[in-house]
Amino acid sequence: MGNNWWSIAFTGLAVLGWEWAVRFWQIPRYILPAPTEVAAALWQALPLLVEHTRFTLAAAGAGFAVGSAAGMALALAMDRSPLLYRAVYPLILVSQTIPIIFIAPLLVIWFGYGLLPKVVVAALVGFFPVAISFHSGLAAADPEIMDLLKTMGAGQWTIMRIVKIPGALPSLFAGLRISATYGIMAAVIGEWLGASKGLGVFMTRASHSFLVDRVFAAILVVSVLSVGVVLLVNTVQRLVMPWYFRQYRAD
Amino acid sequence: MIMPGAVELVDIWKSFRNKQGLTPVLAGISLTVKPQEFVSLLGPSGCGKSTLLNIISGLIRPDHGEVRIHGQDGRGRTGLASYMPQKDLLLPWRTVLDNVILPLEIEKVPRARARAEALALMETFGLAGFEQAYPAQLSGGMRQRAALLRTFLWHNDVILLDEPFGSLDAITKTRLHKWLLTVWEQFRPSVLFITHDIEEALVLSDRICVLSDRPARVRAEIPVDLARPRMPTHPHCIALKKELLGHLEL
Repeated sequence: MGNNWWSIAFTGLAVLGWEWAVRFWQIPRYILPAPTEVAAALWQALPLLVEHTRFTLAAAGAGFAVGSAAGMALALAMDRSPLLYRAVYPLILVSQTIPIIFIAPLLVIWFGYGLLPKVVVAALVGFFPVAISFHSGLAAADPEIMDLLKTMGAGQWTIMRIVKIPGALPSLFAGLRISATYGIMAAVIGEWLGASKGLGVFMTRASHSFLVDRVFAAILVVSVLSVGVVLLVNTVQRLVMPWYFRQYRAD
Repeated sequence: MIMPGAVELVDIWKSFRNKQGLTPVLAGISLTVKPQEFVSLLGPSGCGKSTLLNIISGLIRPDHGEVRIHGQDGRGRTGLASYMPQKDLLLPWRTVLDNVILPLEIEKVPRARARAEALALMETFGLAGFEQAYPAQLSGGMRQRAALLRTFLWHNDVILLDEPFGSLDAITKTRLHKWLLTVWEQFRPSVLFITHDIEEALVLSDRICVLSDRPARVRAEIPVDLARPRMPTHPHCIALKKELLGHLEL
């Protein structure tokens, strides 16, 4: 935890420097607001922000759930079928070269301005890290342990349950952490392109009106949400795999 | 009635295919482990000892030859012999207790019964008080004892040990030898013990089979007619050691 104090101190210093620079050079609010002005905007717009945050969180949460569930399912299927792996894996990699910003408008055309296109964007973005990292975790299972279980008479599914899945959990959670943060971002991007509620909408409206302090307030909320979901995933990980955090030796 | 051997190998041949073509690994190995006998396979590193154990445990099939375990055909058939590989292969996400009951769990023995059975043996295997510890919290010697308990809980009369103490320091190793013999005398399984350590083979075994370099053949079979516990410094042990060194061409 000692290391965190340094970064907290550094952030505090940077914010102070920002405040001082804005005042010293008298930078107008619509170019760069001072941190105190951002804080005031945040406080003033809080009820509105809470309302918009609810929509963003709903889209991100639903998208993350669908995307990561699909990613896990595909990772398991690719692990069981080398043929499927060879057919699909390059396709998944190539699919990541398509910028999500180009897909989102298409989704708006297909699914309208409601919650659904944002959920789909978040799911598409969340799918990839989970599928890739969970699959590589499954593939990294120790062949000697699997051989040992085979000599005990274990079948493929028993080996999957006892060796492969528990062994792949650290990689799975690494993927889930990435997907969860991407999910928030993807939902916001989806909202930029057409929605009636959500932090993305709040952000576009604020920037169109040159309310830069509100834009910063929204950025702050998005950051806090992203850190929040990472902490949530970490907490779940601690509950699911306590052994991982208790690796010290007796001697 | 003639008692069948616990393990009978008749003229086992095995080659592996690689870029250079066929590499012969085992060239006509025949040997028998009698019930309750402790037999060591002594041979140079990389001579194919582990391949032979994989054949007996049913993981790979021999190209030619017969494998019988208590009279049953063991070719390509797993589960007839308990196998302990070189590494302890304990699952890091399971406690010691849940690691050792693995073979029972796979045989679908109810978990409570499997745990009770394992708990009763924790003391004998020097693991009392560490039931709920994770493998990473154990010392090297304890990990090997846990792996051995897992092998014993398999309920097979035939136990295959592949250099189980190979990675341990000399002092821990000597202590585990003494301990292994007390456990073996208590349960009397038939043991096939693979090693490249001459003293280890001398201290433990009823009989030592010396294997040649690859492709492996049985060079010699030497009975060790000496009461246990044995001292490696005993004149008879030293004489046998000389004989073994001769067979290993050292």
